Amino acid sequence: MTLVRTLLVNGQRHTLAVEPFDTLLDVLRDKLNLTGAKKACNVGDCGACTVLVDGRPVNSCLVLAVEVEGRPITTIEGLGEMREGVRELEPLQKAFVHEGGIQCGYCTPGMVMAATALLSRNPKPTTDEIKNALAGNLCRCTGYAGIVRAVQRCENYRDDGTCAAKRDGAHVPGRISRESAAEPGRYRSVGESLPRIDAVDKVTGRALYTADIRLPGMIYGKILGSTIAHGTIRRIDVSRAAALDGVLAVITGADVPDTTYGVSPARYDEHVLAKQKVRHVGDPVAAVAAIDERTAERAVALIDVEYDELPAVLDVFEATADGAPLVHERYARNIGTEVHQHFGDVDAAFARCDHVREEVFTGNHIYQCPLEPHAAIARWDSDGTLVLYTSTQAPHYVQYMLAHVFHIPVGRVRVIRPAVGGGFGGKAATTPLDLCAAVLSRKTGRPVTMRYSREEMFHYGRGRHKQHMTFKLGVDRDGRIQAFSSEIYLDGGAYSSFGVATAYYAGSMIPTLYHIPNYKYDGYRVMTNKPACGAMRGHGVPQPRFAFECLLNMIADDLSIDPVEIRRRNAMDPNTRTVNDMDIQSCEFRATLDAVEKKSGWRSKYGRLPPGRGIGIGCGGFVSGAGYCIYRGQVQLSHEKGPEPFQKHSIFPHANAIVKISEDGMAAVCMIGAAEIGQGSDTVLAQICAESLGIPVSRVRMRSEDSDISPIDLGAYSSRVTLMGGHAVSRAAAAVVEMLRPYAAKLLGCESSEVRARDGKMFVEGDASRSVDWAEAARKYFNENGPLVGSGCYKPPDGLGGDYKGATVGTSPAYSFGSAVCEVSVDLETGKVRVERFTDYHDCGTPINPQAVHGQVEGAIVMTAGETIMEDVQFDAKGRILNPNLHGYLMMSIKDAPEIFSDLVDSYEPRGPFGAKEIGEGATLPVLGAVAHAIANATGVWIKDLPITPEKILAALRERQRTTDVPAAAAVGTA
Amino acid sequence: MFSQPTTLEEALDVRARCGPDLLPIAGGTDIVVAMNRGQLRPAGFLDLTHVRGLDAVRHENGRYECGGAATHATLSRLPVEALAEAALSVGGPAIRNRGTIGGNLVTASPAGDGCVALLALDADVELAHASRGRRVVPLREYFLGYRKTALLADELITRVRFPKDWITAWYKIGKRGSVNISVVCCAIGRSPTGLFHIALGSVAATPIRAPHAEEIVNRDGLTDGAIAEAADAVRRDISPIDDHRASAKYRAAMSVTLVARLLRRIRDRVKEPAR
Ligand SMILES: Cc1cc2nc3c(=O)[nH]c(=O)nc-3n(C[C@H](O)[C@H](O)[C@H](O)COP(=O)(O)OP(=O)(O)OC[C@H]3O[C@@H](n4cnc5c(N)ncnc54)[C@H](O)[C@@H]3O)c2cc1C
Ligand code: FES
Ligand code: FES
Repeated sequence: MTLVRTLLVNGQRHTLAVEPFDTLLDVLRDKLNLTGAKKACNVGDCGACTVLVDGRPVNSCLVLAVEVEGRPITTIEGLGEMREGVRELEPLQKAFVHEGGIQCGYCTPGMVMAATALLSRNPKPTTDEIKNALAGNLCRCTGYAGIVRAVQRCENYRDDGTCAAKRDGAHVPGRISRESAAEPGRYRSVGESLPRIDAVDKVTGRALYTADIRLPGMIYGKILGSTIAHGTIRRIDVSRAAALDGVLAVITGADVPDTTYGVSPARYDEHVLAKQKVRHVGDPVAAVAAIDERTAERAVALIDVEYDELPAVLDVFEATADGAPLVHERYARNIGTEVHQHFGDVDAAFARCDHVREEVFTGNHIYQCPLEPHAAIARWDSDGTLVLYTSTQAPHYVQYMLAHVFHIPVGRVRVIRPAVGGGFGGKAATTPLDLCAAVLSRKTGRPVTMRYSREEMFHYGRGRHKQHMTFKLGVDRDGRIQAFSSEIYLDGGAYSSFGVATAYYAGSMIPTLYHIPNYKYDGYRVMTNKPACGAMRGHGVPQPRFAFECLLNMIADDLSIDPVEIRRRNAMDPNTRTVNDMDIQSCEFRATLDAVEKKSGWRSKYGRLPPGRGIGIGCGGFVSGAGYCIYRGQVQLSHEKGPEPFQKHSIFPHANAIVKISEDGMAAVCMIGAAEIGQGSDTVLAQICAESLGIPVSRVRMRSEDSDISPIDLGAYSSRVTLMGGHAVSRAAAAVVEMLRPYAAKLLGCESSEVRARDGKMFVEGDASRSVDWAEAARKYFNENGPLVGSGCYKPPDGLGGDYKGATVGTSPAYSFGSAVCEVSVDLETGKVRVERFTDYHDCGTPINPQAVHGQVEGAIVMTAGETIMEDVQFDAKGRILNPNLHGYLMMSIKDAPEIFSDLVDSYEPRGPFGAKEIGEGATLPVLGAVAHAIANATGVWIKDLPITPEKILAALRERQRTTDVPAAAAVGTA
Repeated sequence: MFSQPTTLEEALDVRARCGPDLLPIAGGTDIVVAMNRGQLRPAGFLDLTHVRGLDAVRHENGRYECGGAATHATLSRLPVEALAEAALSVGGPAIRNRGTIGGNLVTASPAGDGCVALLALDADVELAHASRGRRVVPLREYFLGYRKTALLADELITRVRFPKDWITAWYKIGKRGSVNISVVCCAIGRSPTGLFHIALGSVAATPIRAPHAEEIVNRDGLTDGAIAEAADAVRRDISPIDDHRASAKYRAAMSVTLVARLLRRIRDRVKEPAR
């Protein structure tokens, strides 16, 4: 039954036809094209759809449009005074922009609306009041710190005093690098905490994410997933679905290419839709396209599938047992990847050790949960080019994989990456949405869009591998590490995805933090009947790092050495080649240890806190970019590759940029296919571009979203963009400056070699008073030569890393380091943990944008602290996920987030652009160990399997009470 | 079909005529969730959000009387600690602006926080029918089984009544700081005559009272021994299960912990000199 109703939205009356069951969110987005409010869960769990009704925040996904007829509704698009057809930003919006309240921006409209409601009744809220008001809004990126700051400091942004307010209101701790310290003021853009260049679009709801885009004639696709964890398809009957009104196409395994796909070329083991076998609940079986999403959903439910069920394996030990059912015939004992690395001689070294301890640790199934669900739109252009809009963090790999599956040249695929609402590794692979949308679009001749629901995201998976780790560490009397060996079983789920790399990463990153003279790693990535695991922030490393840090702390206690001191004794030094041939240049790890120790008040707290309160330390570091590409040789599909000599590695540049200057010289367009996914890469690259050109950042526009425009950058993974993309951009910009020099020299009457560029001027070195406008020089160039375009690229240095099997993984031009101290309180009667405070120091090289760096740290701390104590994808005995939603799968809310102090130590990386390294992934690594240690310190019991839930803590406390009368482990204070 | 009455008479009338065909909807925070998940596709709705006065709270004769569509946000501002805190623990602010006490009682989830707090207040619910009139059911008799209640398909919850001046206490163990479904929650109300009403959530098929525990403190008062004994006796009142949130064992242990904790808290309050 269709009703005609009048809605009052942002002061305008809209009379429209609605169904009684249409939600306000759907009506706003689909009928009024107000796409600022986001659909990130559709069941009230996340707050991304928050709008105001009668001035009060509501979840518009749970409100029926008919219920709010006649009531004033305000959406993000309605904030701000209209002036000459443009809405001015509200002070609150300005504060979000300037205080680091925005990263991917997907939570932003909801956050801003909830905060607007708060400020309208309470203009000066306390921190607790802010947290209460935002308690229903989840953010996966910021750790909430920037959001709280923005609301607290909103006051400073009234009266248009943006800049002044920013200066006194927003001190962002940042450091001057060694290089720039030598010459203060040397840089203009680099090193500045500039607001994100996309922040205004995100805070006004203007930023378009894939699900916000509507193409003419666009239709909607939906995938049917397997209902069983393991089996073969006996029969599929799509006739009822195909007969449904509004259905335009139904496809099954028979309609998709036979080509398998995946991530690592040696392990392409996925089909677009199941050909015969299904390997996990949710494994794609069929798909439909229909005139709207609701019809597509109904059609999917009408597809009848009969399965012959096979026994499922859900656990790595079960899966590797003799006679276990095989998930894939090709992987014997279900082991898809096996790693055996041995450097030095661990057995001999253990025999010489004064103390050896072996422990077993278990990780958890973690899911990235970016706030934006995956989405795609596919269209085939009349010349046969496949155009795909997709929410991805690695556009080039998607382009490559589409070309591979559809047997078309890479150049015939155009990938457009709209704004992306977070990835964390979950959007690094080509998804069934990308592929099915392309198949359905070819079949129907219409653009097809597909989106995952929150539940489907969990079934698609690609989260962190759950790892089962047996670690053995040997030290001398002083706690100096002599030998370390590890055996890790990684629960990989049903497909390989990124898992080969994961299995190698789990071993390769351990020896970069401490000197380990003898090292052995045996890793097994095991296939199980669960959604495939993939690469998640810190790829493969967080769980082993957690286990290692715990073990080191246990050993420190065993030997009565202070945990900070034992780290100092083993800490990595700069200019070291590690036992596994990782080539470390800059390293300020010790400085981070000294700094966290001092700042956290470690010495006055460790061992001196009352029961129920604890402090702990954890450290970690990561690569600044993978030294090698996922595929080999040149940019060409493997089946097209000619009879050239076998190439062991990729031989093309990993990051490529073009800088084009507008004809009047007043704007620079920086083109690079680097994926801005919320981490801030567009902003950082724009700063690097401006710095290298010598013009203000405000004149630089980034074009990173379209593969037709921007040359390849491999993507936002392995913390690579600042270093690799940064080099490509700075080189492209330098090429432009080089081209301008003769023209400027002519205008200035000096030698080309004497020309310098800065602040939009070109001047004679040493005499800034002799200058011309940068733009004038650019115009002169154009007059004579036509377009002023520079290009640049970056290849990792030759000969990086070792030459053993798997040496490529973990090999990087540069490595980051960091230390974190965590303080917790634990309710000893319920086991409930409150993570109170984090003190974190990082060596990320020279920060290009300190505020962005701290944003990454704050986000990583909250995400990973939640991972340590709350997050876990749980399965039942049939392989079904028990908590595929945001109230069952628990990411930290603003009320759980600790207070965070984040700062950086001075560092300069010779291999990084302007001395920069990475922060995005490395910042996660110290966190797990620090939280676990603080809990052990507060309770006297070590919990070695993640997540460290209240229930596990309580059980361990009771067990200890039962078995001993000895009060507590050495680590617990007596005060 | 869709009906949007503005008076209670009209609403009751529609309800009596259409029964289950028109699903009453208040905040929609349970129904629309089920609908968006594809678990529910009602033929139509009876929208209660425009019914005048149904969301109001009044007080008379030492008792509060709140309308069936009073929101959690409204309840969280009442000076009745257990109920206010329970209401404040529901979802986030946007959920509380919409979700109602009537919805909470009809959904009757074992984890329904409002239900637990009201059980500890020994509340009454008023169930009304257009022609049969209104019947008042003590809440402790209202929950019949897992998500089954005394409400008939042609009735609406029009009012909930509960005392104003009891000493009450509330504690919810969840797994997160907000948008937090209880693993165990407990509410205790002490009437001016010194009788204890102990209620728990998430430890049985419905929100429950704990008669065994109540009996001990009603008999012996709040001595250390009685508190310990009552807390332990609660094990006989509950029948928790294992699920992905927690094990039955943990729920049982926490029921004991919470009953003891809240009884001690109430003892501290009772001792406070009257001001
Ligand atoms: C994200 C989220 C978090 C939540 N957290 C919590 C929580 O922490 N604790 C908790 O207890 N609950 C929680 N809930 C559940 C929900 O908010 C409550 O149960 C709420 O009280 C339901 O009220 P409503 O008005 O929204 O109900 P609706 O969804 O409108 O209705 C629920 C049921 O009640 C019926 N109904 C409603 N009013 C009447 C009436 N007056 N007479 C007769 N029938 C009626 C409807 O027909 C329907 O069957 C949460 C929900 C969400 C989405
Ligand atoms: S989309 Fe509405 S709360 Fe998540
Ligand atoms: S910025 Fe909050 S979810 Fe990304």
